[in-house]
Amino acid sequence: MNWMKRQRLIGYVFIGPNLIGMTVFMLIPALFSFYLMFTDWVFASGQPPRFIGLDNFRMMVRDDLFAVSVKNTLLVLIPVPISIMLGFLIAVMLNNRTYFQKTLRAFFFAPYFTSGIAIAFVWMVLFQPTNGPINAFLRSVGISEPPLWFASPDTAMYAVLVMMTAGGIGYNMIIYLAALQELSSEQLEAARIDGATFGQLLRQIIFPLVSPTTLFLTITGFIGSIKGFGMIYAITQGGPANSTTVFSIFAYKKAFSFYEMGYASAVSWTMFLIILFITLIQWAGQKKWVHY
Amino acid sequence: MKNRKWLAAGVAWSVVASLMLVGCSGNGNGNGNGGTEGPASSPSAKPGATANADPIKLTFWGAVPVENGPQTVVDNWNKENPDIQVEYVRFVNDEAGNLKLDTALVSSQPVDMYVSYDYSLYEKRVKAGNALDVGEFTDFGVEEKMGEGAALWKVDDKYYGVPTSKGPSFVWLNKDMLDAKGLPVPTEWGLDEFREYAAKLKDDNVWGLAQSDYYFNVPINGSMLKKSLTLTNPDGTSAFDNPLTVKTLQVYTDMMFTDKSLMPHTEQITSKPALDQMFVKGETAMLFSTNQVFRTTNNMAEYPRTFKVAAAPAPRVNKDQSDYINAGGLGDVISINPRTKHPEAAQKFIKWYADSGMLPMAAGGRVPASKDFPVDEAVALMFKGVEDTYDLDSIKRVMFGDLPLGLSRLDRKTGSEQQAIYDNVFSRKLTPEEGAKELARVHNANLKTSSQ
Repeated sequence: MNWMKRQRLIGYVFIGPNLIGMTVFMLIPALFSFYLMFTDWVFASGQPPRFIGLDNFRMMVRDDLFAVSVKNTLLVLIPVPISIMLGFLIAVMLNNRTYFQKTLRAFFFAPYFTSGIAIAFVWMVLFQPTNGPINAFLRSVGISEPPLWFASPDTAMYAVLVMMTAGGIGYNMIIYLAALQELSSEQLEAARIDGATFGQLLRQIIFPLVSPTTLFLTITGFIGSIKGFGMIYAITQGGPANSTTVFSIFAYKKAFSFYEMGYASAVSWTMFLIILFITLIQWAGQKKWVHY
Repeated sequence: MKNRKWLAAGVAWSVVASLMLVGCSGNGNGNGNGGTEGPASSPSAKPGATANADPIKLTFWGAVPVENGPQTVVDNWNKENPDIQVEYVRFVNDEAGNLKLDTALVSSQPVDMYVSYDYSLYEKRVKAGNALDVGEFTDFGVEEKMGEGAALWKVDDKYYGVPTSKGPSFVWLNKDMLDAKGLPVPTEWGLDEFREYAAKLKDDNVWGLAQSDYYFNVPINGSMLKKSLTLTNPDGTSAFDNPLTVKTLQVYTDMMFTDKSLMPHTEQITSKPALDQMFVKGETAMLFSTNQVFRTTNNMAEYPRTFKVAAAPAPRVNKDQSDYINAGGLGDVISINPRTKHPEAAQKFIKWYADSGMLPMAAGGRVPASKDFPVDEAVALMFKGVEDTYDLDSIKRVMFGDLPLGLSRLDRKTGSEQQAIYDNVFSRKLTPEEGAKELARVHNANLKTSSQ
């Protein structure tokens, strides 16, 4: 065996364990669910899957709760651009010399390396309608009937949006910080010499230069939001009155509460197609605003 | 070309290895004398594989925390029966926990016996072929042992499990708070009296009442159970849209928003307070729940309290309602997995458990159902060392009395979909009248689907 072959073999050995994990836990289940979406299989029913063609998709169109989950999933996309913008602005501030620069970086990034469930429970306490600090503050400033946040079908989704926006800022900030460190100081210096104000510098120099990072964060942010599950489920389980039921919670309930694996697979693949569609739009649209 | 071959070979071996991993995990009980066979084995495997020098190993799945009795139960059994060793595996009795059990059952993990706590899940397991007909065991007559109430657990007129405990849902009372307000311990009451008690007992930082999530369906369902276990009218349509449902929704709405004696429902489900701990800490005067609260009220070391605990039956909708059925009855149904290699040994264990072995579970509030069980011993153990902290008369009256008990067979899907309607009613987005109609609409839709 020559040197080159040996190197390749070593490479395969290294990726082998990961490949096995991917095959067992991702590829095989994904292929299996692709097959299941054309069946009426109910898990643990003792009955084999029965081919029903596109019936699951017809059922989906008629399912009111599916429509609610589509609407809610579109709503959870709102925090993505907001947290990107806030992450960008904080990164710009922390990229310049400021007091407590490192402490502030750690502070903003902390939610990213903290367990999502722990963060969710912190938000649950903050938004607690009767004893939570947010409503205590609102009452102290004269609002006698503050919102019930997670506890009301009318406001639960807004509370989720606030939680998701705050959750995304730290990660976006750290990625932007890395991008800002790579910027050429000559370009910025030249702009300053030409008389650019800070606002112009930000809008016309810095933001375009980090646009590949923005594209990356937008794509991963949208994917993450559409797939979002843990934090919402930990607090509301999709309630009250299904007001926070998003795609993933809808699919989870169908699969693991009612064991309707065929239908849940159809929902999951629909979610995949929607993610793919949105990503392709972003990819195609990048020509207009991303500068490499 | 050669590289491609290497790649193909690598991928192929990865897949083979991964499938081997999956295959291996399917038979986790490597011991040749272990309890469960692979799925290919016949469900009607005849007993008789016990003649072996090695002890038989059985795995018993249940949802009671191991420290609340099950470990002592299996330790007692294992000491008495060195030839049949039982291991207890705990699953949490929620969606994820039941999924874990169902996955274990269909993937031939070592599950020889398991407990079902919910009729619809039990029925599903039976229909999926995951429970042996215990009628095959001629020396164990379920109804003879457990009484007629066991018939609730029949599927297609057969028993696929042995109900081992009994007990209703009832109202836990902080007797000191009742005494302070001059209120007697109720022996029968309706929702109007229930509301009145909660309003009088409410105080600064003390709720008049707390109750398990979605427990307002107890009086609603209890008013329909006599008509039909599936909560339908004689013509097969949903019975939910009736004046008693409307009244229940109205009373609870008033308790939440007018009297403010009960934490608003949606606040409770999103704040997730530990209700049993609220009760022992004196943060609520009454708690509508089940006997599982004994785990907390008996645990004076972790949850010290100074007040006496009393009990009242679950409130009917109207005090004079004669056709009311209390939620409860026989439960904790132990089934035998048809894939066990040792059905006889499993049956021997279940018989022992039901007749005497479950005694250590009494401390956690489990009341044995078998007529052969030494009930006095169970009661003594239930209150051992804490007798003085209970109003034993009221507790015994409620737990061991002759209240008509029953369990609804409402399908899980309807139950789950109705939760959203309860959320809307108790967010005041639906009136009680609209709520009752919606409950019936959802139920009728699922009845129609299941009939198709």
